[in-house]
Amino acid sequence: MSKSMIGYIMSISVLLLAIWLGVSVGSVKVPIQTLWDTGADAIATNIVWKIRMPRVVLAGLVGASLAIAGAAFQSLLKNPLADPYTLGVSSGASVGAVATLFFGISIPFLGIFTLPVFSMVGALVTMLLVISFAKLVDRGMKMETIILTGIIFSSFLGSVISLMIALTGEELRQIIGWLLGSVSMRGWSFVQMALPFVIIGTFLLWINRRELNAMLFGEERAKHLGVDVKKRKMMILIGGSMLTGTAVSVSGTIGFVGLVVPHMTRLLFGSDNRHVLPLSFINGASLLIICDLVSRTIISPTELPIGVITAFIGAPVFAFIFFKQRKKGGV
Amino acid sequence: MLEIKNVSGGYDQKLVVQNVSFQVKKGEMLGILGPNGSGKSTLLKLISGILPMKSGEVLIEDKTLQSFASKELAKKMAVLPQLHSQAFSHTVRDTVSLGRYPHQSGWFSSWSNEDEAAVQAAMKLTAIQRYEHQLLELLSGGEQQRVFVAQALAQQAPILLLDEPTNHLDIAHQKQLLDTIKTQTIENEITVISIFHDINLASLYCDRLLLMDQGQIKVIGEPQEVVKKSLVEAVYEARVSTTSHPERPKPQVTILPDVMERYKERIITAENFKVTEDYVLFQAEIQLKTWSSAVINAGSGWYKNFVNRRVDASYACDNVQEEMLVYLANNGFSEADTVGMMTAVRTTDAVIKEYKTPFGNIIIMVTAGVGNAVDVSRAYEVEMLPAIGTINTWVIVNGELSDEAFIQSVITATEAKTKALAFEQVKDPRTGTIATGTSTDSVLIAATQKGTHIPYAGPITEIGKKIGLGVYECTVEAIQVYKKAKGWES
Amino acid sequence: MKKRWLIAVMAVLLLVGCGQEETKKVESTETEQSASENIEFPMTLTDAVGEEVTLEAAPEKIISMIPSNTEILFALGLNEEIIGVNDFESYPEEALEKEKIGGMEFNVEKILSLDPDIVFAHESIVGMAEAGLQQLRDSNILVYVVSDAKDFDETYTTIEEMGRATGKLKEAQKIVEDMKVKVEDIQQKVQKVESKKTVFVETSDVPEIYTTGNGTFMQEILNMLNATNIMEDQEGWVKIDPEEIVSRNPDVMLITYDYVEGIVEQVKQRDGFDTVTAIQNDAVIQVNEDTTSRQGPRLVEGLEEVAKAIYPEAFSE
Repeated sequence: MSKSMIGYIMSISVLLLAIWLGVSVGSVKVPIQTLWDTGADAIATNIVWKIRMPRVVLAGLVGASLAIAGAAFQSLLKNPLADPYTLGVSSGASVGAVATLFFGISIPFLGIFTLPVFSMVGALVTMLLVISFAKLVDRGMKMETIILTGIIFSSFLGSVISLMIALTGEELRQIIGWLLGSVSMRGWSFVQMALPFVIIGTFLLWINRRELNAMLFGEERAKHLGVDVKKRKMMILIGGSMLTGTAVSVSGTIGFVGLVVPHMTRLLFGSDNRHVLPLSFINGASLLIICDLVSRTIISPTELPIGVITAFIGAPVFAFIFFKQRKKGGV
Repeated sequence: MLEIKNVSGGYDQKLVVQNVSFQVKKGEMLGILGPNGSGKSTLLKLISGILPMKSGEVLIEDKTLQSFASKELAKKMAVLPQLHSQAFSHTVRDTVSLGRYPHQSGWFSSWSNEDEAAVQAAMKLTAIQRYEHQLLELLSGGEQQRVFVAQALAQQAPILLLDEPTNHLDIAHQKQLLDTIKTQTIENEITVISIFHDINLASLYCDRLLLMDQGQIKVIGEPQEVVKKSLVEAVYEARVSTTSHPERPKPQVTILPDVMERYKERIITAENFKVTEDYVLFQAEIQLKTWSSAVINAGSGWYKNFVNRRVDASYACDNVQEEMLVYLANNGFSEADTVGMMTAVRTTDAVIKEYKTPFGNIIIMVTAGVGNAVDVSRAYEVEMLPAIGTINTWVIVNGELSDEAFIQSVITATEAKTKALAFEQVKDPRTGTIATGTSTDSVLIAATQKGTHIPYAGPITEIGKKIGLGVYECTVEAIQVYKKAKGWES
Repeated sequence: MKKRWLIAVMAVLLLVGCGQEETKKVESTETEQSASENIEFPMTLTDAVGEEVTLEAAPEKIISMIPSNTEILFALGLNEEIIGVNDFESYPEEALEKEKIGGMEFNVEKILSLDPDIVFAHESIVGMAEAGLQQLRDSNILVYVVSDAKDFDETYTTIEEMGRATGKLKEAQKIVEDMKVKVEDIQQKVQKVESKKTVFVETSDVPEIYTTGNGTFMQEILNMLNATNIMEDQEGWVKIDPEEIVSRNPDVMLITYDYVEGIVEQVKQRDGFDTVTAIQNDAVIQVNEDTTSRQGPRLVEGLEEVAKAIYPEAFSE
């Protein structure tokens, strides 16, 4: 059996286990059969179907999106320390969300979707700005230019957020709560909203898996191998940004998933993007479902911010990768 | 196949390559040479389309470069850039497989038998099959380079552009790789354009060479038209010397260092000779440039020890060279810096004389046995049987001899020897005519290559005169000693 | 815009930042003295952090660093003497017109420029503001740190302490007496209720639902009102798993914040909350955050508001 086959079997098993645990374990113990047992306790059914399931699914979608976007960005930017936030897209999404809260924007027609929609718009606008600015600076849009532009935009938008927080009054708690990131109490409606973008974004990345392999060897090499670098790069940037924007808009900023999952996947199953992308998708989902599970059960019924858990797991792994990379003289 | 027309280009406003035009035929291997910064890599990038050109055009099979879609171009032209470090590690197989990218299409494109065959063939040609499942990053630079060559070969493009393909490779792998590529040009009519750092490799393998100088073509043509001392020195601004390749009619260049090495300023004198019952030994403290027809280390080279060994008249051996090497080793002479000759004459009878010239002394050593004297002009008349009887002539010069001077020294010495034989009335016993030499004569010219430069050594030069006189005198004396020893006279 | 989030946010930050270290109970050295005792200046008081504060005369220029102090000082009738207050004052109206000395981070220079006789700080901000307070003390400004009351009795003490320090002890005692009478009245009303109700207190909206557990003022209020806090097994302010709310199924949900518009309706529409008794019985009620958390004279109003929210039947006549 090939390494990738083992990878798929293991990853899917872990995902199923994570979903099972995510649904059945919680501050309230609910047996899994509650899902289909019509005679089950109404409160239990309610909790599982309306609170826990959407939460698990959303965690899965967010984790999967961030992880596959991370895998793609790392390959595209040839930078093992790149993650979905490198391009400033998440800062854009955050600005959109924080601005919604800060100005108290509420569009009746959008309802509770006002914030995620604005956040997504923020992400897309930022991505377009980053790309056009990078293009303006350097027509060839070299990776370094894109990364630098991303960092510039990130810092700038970060300061805009800080400014809004400093000027804010009453909404502070809401903004801080949102920035901490959470998949709690979003319900099925958020899942419905995120799903199409997750599918499109994932598809955009997946059809570029071989191109990403080629681009790992540098843009010139990829071009020599026959990759239409400009077009493909654009597709990957759009796909990755769409996924990042979606994830950030429904759950706030949850760090480390996009960085750690692709690396763990590569370490375990090799770095062929034909497998790294789908496997990161699956493993990202598993990781975030598990992190969310831990965050709400470890000191139940109190919840920890999910970012605390992802960082707790992510930071040591990040450090390990960094150390390994440095020893190799990579970075 | 490939036509480059008035191509100019570079980075920003600076034109690194200006107005370059040339054509490459199908199956031809063209080497691009030039000093650092002469625009070699830029030219290759312009041809491969990585760098947009400012003006001019590149035609592949009469179609412009721009008219090809990315994948179509990759099917026509494979490029091997200089090696870069990777952020993530692929297996060798995955890396080579990427070469098949242009041949695949669609979202779910599968791996065809043809793809597999191309990948296997490429790995086989570059001898990396045994690394197939290893990670690229764990291989040495040379192995990685071969993997990328395999990747380019797997592309199966009729045109191959290479940027210093032998970088990081040891000579065995340089040879193997270039042999492989050259074979591709011969067997599959692949057209190759390759940048070379190493002029000798380029000269050896390429059909034509293109010498770049400051972004323009200095010269393009066959290796012997390009690898010329004057051209290379002008373009590279380095002192070089050209020589011929021992096996192929391809010129080679050698760097001439301008470093003044510290050496002991020692004049060679007759004191450097030591004569024993077994051999005549001449030992110098520095290597001398030597031309000889000795048994060991004949031809030209640089040596310190010169041994004229006495062997028995009945000496017979299947492998003279090997036996002689063992003998030298047993006497403490290394093969690396020793020239070895043999003689049947008593070594104590060797005649060694020193002659003064205006630039420095020359020393001449002769051992002569004329029992096997031959008139070379009548040699065709009789069947020659191997027989012992040799005149060994050594000429050691304090001075710097040119190649011509070496050859002229040999001529002069030989003529003097012949004259000495005539003077002594040594006859070819088979024809009864005056002999010109013996059947196995050897000559050795050695020079310190320091001090005065001596361009010529014919009879009208100071050195020629002394060689002629010295060899004549020494040979006459040696023959007389020989005759006396044999009891031919008085 | 009402600015009443200060205490809650600080509490959250303290909680997150330093864990749940209980504020030390600081016994006031003066509390047990009889009310009839004459107030004589100069006097020396020991504040909540153990600093001795000597007042030469009743202060004429007073700065209040947090809203609860401000409310007490106004209740004591020191309207004229107060010269500086916090940025986030909301009550009384008059407080809004006073000079502002800053919010969570106060402006030391501003305080110095106002040249106060005394500055009333608060035990709950000492952790964050210690350096600034020391700067004030070093500039010979009297700083009196008011202790952080955990219950009504401690609040009474706080009011009396501040009365003593400002030469308004009688007024302070009067306020306390009135409060005690009202509390007695409310408690009597709720005693009559037969079934004890379970309550969930929500201090911030999704996704980070925070609630008040044991050791909070809200817990004290609920205890006094014969109601059960479903989260009383938790300590302090905690972020709670929404499942737990549904599972523990409160009879009443109290929303103590108003930064989200139409929050009551939003809570009622939350996914999965439809089985909760409070929602089925339409018992989601928004209460005033300030009166239920500021350790001042208006606590009684907060108590009454909460009591009416939980047991409306007891107040129906």
